[in-house]
Amino acid sequence: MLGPTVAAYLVLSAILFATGAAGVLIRRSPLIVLLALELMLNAGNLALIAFARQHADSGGQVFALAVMVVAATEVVVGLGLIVAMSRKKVELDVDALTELEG
Amino acid sequence: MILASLAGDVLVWVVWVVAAIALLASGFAVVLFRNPFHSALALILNLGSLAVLYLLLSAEFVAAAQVLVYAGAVMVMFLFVIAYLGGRADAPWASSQAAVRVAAVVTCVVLLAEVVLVIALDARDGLSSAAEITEGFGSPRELGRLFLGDNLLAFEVSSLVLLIGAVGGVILGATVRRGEVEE
Amino acid sequence: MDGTALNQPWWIDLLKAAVVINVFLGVVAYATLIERKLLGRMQLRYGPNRAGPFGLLQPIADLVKMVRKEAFAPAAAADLLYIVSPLVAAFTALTSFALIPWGPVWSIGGYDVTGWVADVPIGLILLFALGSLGIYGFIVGGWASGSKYSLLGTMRTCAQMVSYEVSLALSVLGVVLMAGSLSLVDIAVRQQETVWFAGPQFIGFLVFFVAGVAETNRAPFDLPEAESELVAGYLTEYSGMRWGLFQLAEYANVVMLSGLTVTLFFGGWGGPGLPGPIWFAIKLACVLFVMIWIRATLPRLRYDQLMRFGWKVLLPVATLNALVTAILVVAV
Repeated sequence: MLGPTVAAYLVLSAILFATGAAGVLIRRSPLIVLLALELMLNAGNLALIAFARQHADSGGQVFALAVMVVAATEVVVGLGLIVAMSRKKVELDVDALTELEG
Repeated sequence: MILASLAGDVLVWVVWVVAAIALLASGFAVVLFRNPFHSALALILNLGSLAVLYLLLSAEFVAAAQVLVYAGAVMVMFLFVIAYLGGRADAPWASSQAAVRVAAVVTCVVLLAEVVLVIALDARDGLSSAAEITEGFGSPRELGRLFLGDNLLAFEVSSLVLLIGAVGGVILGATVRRGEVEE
Repeated sequence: MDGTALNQPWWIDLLKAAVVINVFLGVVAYATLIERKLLGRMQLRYGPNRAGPFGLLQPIADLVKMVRKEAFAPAAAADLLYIVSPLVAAFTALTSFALIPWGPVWSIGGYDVTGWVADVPIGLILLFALGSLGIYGFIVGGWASGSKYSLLGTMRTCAQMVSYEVSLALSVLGVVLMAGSLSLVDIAVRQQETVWFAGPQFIGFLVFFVAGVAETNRAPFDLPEAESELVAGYLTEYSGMRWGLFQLAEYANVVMLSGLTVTLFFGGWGGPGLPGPIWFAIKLACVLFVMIWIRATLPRLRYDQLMRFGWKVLLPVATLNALVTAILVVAV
């Protein structure tokens, strides 16, 4: 394989995942939390594709496409929720949405 | 011959470095920007650099699907909602207590260190070489064969998931109109 | 394409790319003139005929005017995004020209010169991906202008483009099934071997054409740019060469769509007698003429009629077409 080994791609994927996780934990706007969630899903996809290349098994790419489908659906539902929240004049702040807590 | 292969290798390394820098920089930008619109644009750049990395890993169909579906449709939806919400989308930047922020970052760094350690330990033997790939690796023909053959269940469930998402989106959008009419 | 490797060194590719981009840019520029003259004639008046003989220097005059105009930006505009958006729109529109094949493979002095700049096995999907990216030029441009008219126009434009993109992609599924490949060159060659796909895929062709006209924001689907409704939609706060780049992107999209129609449904460069590129040019001119004809003839669709048509009429027809084609291709 030309270029860097699979390990380099995996390290990239790990850094991206950690960044996304930090974003989900730190930010308060549900929109940014959704974006950070997309980062984590894409990091997982990168790892899947890298492993598919390493073992010459296209099943990893099939898995990645299925993850993309799930991510797209989750974005649709998440954004629908956010729009509905904003219409009902609920504050768009994940720290303030604690009704189901405990 | 050796020169040509060396030139090919150098080109791949250059593209990889550029794509990796764009990937990490835009990843940090998504988390750190204040304006949600700018964060979404950073994520689009992130998805683009991911597509380049997929191309380097011989996954051409997944790269095209990534640009077409993810960067081309899902992110447009994101930008729509962000533009629609306008100023209402600006929540305070991060958790009010500094301790919570620091703890979150430390946790993620520890997680990252753990994963990198495992990769480095395994990199010498398990991850050092990649298997040879055939001509049709990553082509639509190969993926289609797998989707409709070995992974038929995944295919059917994915279509069901998409249907649920579409119906859910319509319901979440329509409920509000009834609410507005009642007022 | 075929199993044998082509003897085409990198400098021939570079030369071809330079020639192709310049030729297509010229075609795009003169498409504006052809449109204005044809519209004029259909409305019983001459088109522009002052700049040069028969108005042939009109695009040059327009270019000089746009370059010399003051590039006025509103104070509320976000600088970097505002400037970059026309670039993104123009870039994605022009890159698509690299994929469209306009001639066969020639053997010149020991080298093989192909009649296309790039033949990618997933060429069709790459074209659609570039189209999806082009939407960002409009969406970010409208938002970055910092004005209500721009934002409203942008939202309408992008909702329309995204809706019709689905029908566009589904309508070519029949062509892909009949050709057995996603590569544009393979599709063109297959048509020259069997029959032009406009025949068996007539419904697919109609859906593709209508969706394409809507996708490129041409009349009768050009409400987002309707002067009487929204000032100028996302173009409101742009002037000078930045506006020029957006218009370039729009006309480049029109020419690219015509080229794609010819490649997918009318056999690409195939035809008896004349060389390949001449036939391609003739067919391209015919499709362009039909698009201009439609603009001169049909009234504009209202926005909700437009969206209803795209989702409730075009999408089911495209899906049914793909389904029936799949059944027939597998069974026959």
